[in-house]
Amino acid sequence: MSRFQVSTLTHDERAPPSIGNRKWDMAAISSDELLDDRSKAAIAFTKSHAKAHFEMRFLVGSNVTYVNKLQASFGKLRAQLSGVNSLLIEATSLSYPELLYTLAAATQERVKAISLLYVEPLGYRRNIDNHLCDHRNFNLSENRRFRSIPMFMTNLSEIATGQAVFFLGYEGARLGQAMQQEEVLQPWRKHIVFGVPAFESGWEIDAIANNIDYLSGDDQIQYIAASSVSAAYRLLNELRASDKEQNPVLVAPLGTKPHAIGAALFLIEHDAMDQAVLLYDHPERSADRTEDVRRWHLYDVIDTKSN
Amino acid sequence: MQNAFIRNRTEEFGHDIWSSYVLPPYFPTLGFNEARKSVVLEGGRGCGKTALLRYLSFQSQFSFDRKAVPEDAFKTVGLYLKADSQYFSGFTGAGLSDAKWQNIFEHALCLALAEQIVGAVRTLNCSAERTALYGEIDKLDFDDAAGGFVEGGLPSSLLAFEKWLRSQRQNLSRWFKNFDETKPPALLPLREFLGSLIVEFHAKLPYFATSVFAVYVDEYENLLEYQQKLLNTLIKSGEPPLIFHVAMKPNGMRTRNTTGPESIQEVADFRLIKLDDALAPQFRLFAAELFFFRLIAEAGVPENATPIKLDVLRNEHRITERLSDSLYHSRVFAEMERILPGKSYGEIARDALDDPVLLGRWKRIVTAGLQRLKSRRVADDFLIKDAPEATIICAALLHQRSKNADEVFNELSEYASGNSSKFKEGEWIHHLLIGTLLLLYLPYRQRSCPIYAGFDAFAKLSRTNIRHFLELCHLSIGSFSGGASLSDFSVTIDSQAKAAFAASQKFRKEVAGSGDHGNRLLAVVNILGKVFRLSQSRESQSEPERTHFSILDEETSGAGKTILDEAVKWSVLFEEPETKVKGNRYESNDYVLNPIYAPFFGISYNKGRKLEIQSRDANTILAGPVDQFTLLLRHYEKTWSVIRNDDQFDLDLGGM
Repeated sequence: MSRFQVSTLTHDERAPPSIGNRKWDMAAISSDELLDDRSKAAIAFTKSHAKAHFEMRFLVGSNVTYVNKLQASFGKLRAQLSGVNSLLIEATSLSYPELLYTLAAATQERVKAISLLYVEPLGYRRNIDNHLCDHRNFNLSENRRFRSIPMFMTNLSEIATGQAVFFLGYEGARLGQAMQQEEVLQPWRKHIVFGVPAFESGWEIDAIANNIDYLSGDDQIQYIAASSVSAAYRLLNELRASDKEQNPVLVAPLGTKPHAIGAALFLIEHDAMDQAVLLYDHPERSADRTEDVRRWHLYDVIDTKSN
Repeated sequence: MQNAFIRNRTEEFGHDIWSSYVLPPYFPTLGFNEARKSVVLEGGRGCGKTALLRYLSFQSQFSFDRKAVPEDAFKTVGLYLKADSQYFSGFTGAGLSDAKWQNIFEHALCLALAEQIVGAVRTLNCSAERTALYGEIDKLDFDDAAGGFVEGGLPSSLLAFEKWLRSQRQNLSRWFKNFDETKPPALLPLREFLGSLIVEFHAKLPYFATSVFAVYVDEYENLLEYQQKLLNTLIKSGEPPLIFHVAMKPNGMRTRNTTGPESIQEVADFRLIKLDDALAPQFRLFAAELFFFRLIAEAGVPENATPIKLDVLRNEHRITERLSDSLYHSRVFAEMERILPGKSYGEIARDALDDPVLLGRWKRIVTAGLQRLKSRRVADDFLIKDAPEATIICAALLHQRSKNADEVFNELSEYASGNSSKFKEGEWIHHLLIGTLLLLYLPYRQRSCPIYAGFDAFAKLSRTNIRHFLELCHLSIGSFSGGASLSDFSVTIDSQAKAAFAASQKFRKEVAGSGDHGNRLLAVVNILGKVFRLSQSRESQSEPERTHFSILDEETSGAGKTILDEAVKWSVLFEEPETKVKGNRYESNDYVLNPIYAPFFGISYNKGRKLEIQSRDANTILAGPVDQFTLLLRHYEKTWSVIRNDDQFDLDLGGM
């Protein structure tokens, strides 16, 4: 049985969901100032439904974590969650390492009820008015290098060949770059996951079209609803369980945030040596990368280890 | 011939490439086996760096496939180490000082290399037969050799030491999982620890008694600055029996500093070998040899159906023979040109005049030229089917300011009558033919262009990139029944030209994945491709075959310089010393666009006339906002007064 149980509340409106007087003990939000509309809405909602909150920031160049703008070790982050029974993580605005560290700290502190909020945008900023970029290239981020982060560091040249799961979004360069920068992954069995159904019908075509050049005939293509944390988590756990030889399962969360949350739960669950390996490229997000708000998702995660 | 060329990265062949490695012609000049000083191998993508290092490493040298390991192979034992970029780039910050990280990095490197050293003994003794011949493993005592470096000593036997090394690696990983809560593992000093292991090998294993251990660090460019400094220190202090060599892309050495006050110097501390330059003079031969080698090894074509012999290509002592035997060269090239036939430019010109679409375009360009010159002559006056090359370039000549219609007509008549003329003796054909043919083909991207077909064209498109060459072959030949006879097999010009376009498109897209600035580099390729295409579209062809540029006035700096260096690093551009200096103004080196992109943009794979770019415009291309690109293109269009005639000239190149 899987360690985490996930239930989802989806609210299909622009306005925040009314969840009565539900309040969390603590909330984790981003201290990033480059926020888009939906992140602002999400943070406002989070603050109004939490008795207290703290700000998280992780700088990838220096591998430094900040809690409430002060440099903090992972121990300090854990201390922030000590004795907390319920935690709301504002996942829309947190970067992937920030999300992962917060989740890891919460599970280590045995927080009983962990919730994550994710707000979909109405649209992504497209860069199609000049013809120098790919028609389907959404100008979401500058490309960056794949680099490991503290606590999730694995030397891919030293471990056995296993399976690699790539969750993909619109940006084709990210998979291409992974395959070029990490040539050691060539012989790995690859699973490519697209978000289908997408947040808006038609977006999946962009994701597939932008990545098609990097796919090979041997790759396993999988489709998982763009907003489903549980399906992403389940897929990874199934792959983990079906490998009798216990070879590594590498996960590259380059697609939707809900898929990335599923991947984070998987990484935390399988913390034994080389069982779950993270590959991530830390894109720099540009300001106002999305417009407006489309839909709200609240994921409640029960950690069976803490309950 | 099924998929003989599909594997085009060394990584797909594993560590032991003994049986699949074709020795490159420059191999004897490397002198690795005698090297007592470090070598820095510099080479662009696909030039064969990784394959070379893997060939030199013990996995290949002591390969199970090798029937007898010669004496020479024991002189230098190669230890291959690829810097896993995502792993080592995480070795920073997290509340630890750089000095601390440097020790951790050294420790990780030390463990990896210790595993390699014992791996060399294991691989050499990989069979009962080998063990009987070499063996003596039980004499090794690792505790005695290096126990002093570790509290509580080391296990003595090889097997137990291997286990210990693995557990040390896991200790490090475990600590990485929980940095600030647990004590770091005891860290090993690399040079001293490995040195002790080597002393033990020298003393106990007679076959390694005088061996030098050479570490080959691949992808040095991916290391962080302090990591490069540590390696530079190892380069500087390297001496037998432990030497460090590194391989990197151009511009890959970000610092020459060591961890101490000194820096490393070329010649004094290391020898720099530029692999692309070493490969360039013999690239055609090497590419052809590799082609046949793959057909035999991967597709099961009988060796005697080809002009090569596997054993010769794998034999270090027969390279000189390969290079000097001109009869062998003729056989190899003749067979290569039979399988991948090309057309001469003369033939392409003749075919163009027989093609109604291309002839129609030629007539329109000639007519426009005559109108511009206000001549009473008509296009048909210049159409001499028996003189196709001269006829074709009349399209360009009639648009050149310095020419008039009567002069061109008279010269053409002389040429057609076999007399001396400016077409031949004045080198008009020589200078203008390829450019004018490309001009004719330019609007018709859906047609395959024969200029890009043929073994010679493939070699030029690949420059020194073996991966590009193999992909061109793969896309041309595809999968085809292995039972078919090679002597009956030949690829059509059309299939080759289509393959060239497909490969060009594929590799252009791949630029997006090139390092930290891949998206930007792709934009640079696109804008340069378009500028050169625009230049190519000028009817006069007064600056034919433009595919390279230099930067005038000011040296590029800041963000522009970073991108220029990255473009060279990723072989998007090739940097060459400038060809001409005009007066005393600043002019940069030449930057040549990688010829693999030529078919996509419809431009030449030759280095023709240079485009001189003002530093301001160069900065726009390299680092400016993308919306300025359109303005820049308009500017060139205006300067070059590109005439839009009735032929659709598509700069958008749809779907880019």
